[in-house]
Amino acid sequence: MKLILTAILLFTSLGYSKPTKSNDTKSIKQKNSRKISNANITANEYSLLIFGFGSLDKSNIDKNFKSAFEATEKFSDIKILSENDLPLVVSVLKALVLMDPLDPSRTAPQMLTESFHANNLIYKKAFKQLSAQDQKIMSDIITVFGAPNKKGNG
Amino acid sequence: MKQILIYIIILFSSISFSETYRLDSALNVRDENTDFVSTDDVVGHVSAGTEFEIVSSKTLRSGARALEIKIKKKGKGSNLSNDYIQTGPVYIYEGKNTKFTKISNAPGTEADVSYSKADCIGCSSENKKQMDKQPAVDLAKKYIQFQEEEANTPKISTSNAPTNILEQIKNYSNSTQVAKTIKLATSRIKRLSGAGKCYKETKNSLVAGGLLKSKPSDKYARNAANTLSKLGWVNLIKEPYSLNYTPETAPEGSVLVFESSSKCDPYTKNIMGLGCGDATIKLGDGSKTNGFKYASDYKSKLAITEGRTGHKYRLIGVMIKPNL
Repeated sequence: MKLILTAILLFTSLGYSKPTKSNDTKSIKQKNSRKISNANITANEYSLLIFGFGSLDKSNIDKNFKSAFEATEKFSDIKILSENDLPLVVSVLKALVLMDPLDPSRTAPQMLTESFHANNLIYKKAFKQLSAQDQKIMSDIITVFGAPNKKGNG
Repeated sequence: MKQILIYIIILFSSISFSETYRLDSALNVRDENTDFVSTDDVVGHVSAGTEFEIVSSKTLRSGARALEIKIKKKGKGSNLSNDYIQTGPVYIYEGKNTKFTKISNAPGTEADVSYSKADCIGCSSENKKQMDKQPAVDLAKKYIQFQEEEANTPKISTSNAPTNILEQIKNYSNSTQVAKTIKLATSRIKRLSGAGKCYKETKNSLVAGGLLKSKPSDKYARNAANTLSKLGWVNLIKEPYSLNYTPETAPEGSVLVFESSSKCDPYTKNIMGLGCGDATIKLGDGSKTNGFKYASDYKSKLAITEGRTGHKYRLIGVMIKPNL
């Protein structure tokens, strides 16, 4: 009986499975790399961003400010963020909070204004994952995101 | 010399083809030509009878055309500040029901007119083919802008320029308007971190102190030097003065303008000169302002170029208003 069932399953799966065309492979590859192609950055750079932001904390931000700032600039090139990028967005927001005392002009968050408006939902989700203290600082930083001001930016 | 001659000819050709129109019904005037139509952009309206030239046009997603216009004469009942006309750009949206009449006698449209020999002295026929009306209009605009700026720059005799300008700077820094601007900026601005509105708040402080009659309508801080120049201010670090100021040594009350390589919206880029820039008021040496030397939308003891992100900014203007 088991043998018959296995045979039927095998048959049906063979019957319905499409032969893989080169186009399908291409579309699967495209789907998998969608995040990276939208990002205008390579997969390697993306991994470096995750690693870089993740390694920042209060004790080393002073020393690593420049690289954190450059990483923020790189991150700002990512046009469309997906759910998969949520951990990265959370670490970017944490980095902005850490950089804030050293960046009174708020140049780093300003660079993310476009990204914030294009990916508002992801940013909101990321915001909720911050600690209460970080959320308080971030709330003020968000005023910069609301800034595309018609009467005088900067 | 040859280049100047070419520019003049291009300018002449552009001007001779520019057409003046008269509006048949009232229209809102906007300071933006974005696809997101909202009343936020509306800065006033112009009534029927308003005469204008079309500087450029852009087709919006809705199908309407946003026309950048230069207003020659406002119609009776128009409500639009002259500052917007002077500093621009201003736009009207041309929809299905918008009507205006051509009133100038210029021949046809630019596209209709073929280039004559005089259009391009010394150019090959291949070059002539490549000539496009848009670069010509852009060049003409730049030339007109240059002429306007020059016309608006207060004439300070060049024979005794150093003495004269130093006197002007002293008078400016000691003026009641500057004192009032600094006092108000120090008390009004509480923030110690930016909020992305440096230029807006700088303009507010200048208006509150009486150094500007009304707020110019432009958006990016990096353009502040040009805008203020059009309103009669002078840039001390540019010709003819070319004084060697840094943010630290800039005169009290001067407006410091920085270009930047950091974007702040989709229309700016992380490239020097294409970022938003920064505009701030020099409060002085900090002795009278609790150590704060600069105020825009936040107060600071350090210039933006001295901060950790200072490499993203470059000083392009130290502006004062002469004859105070």
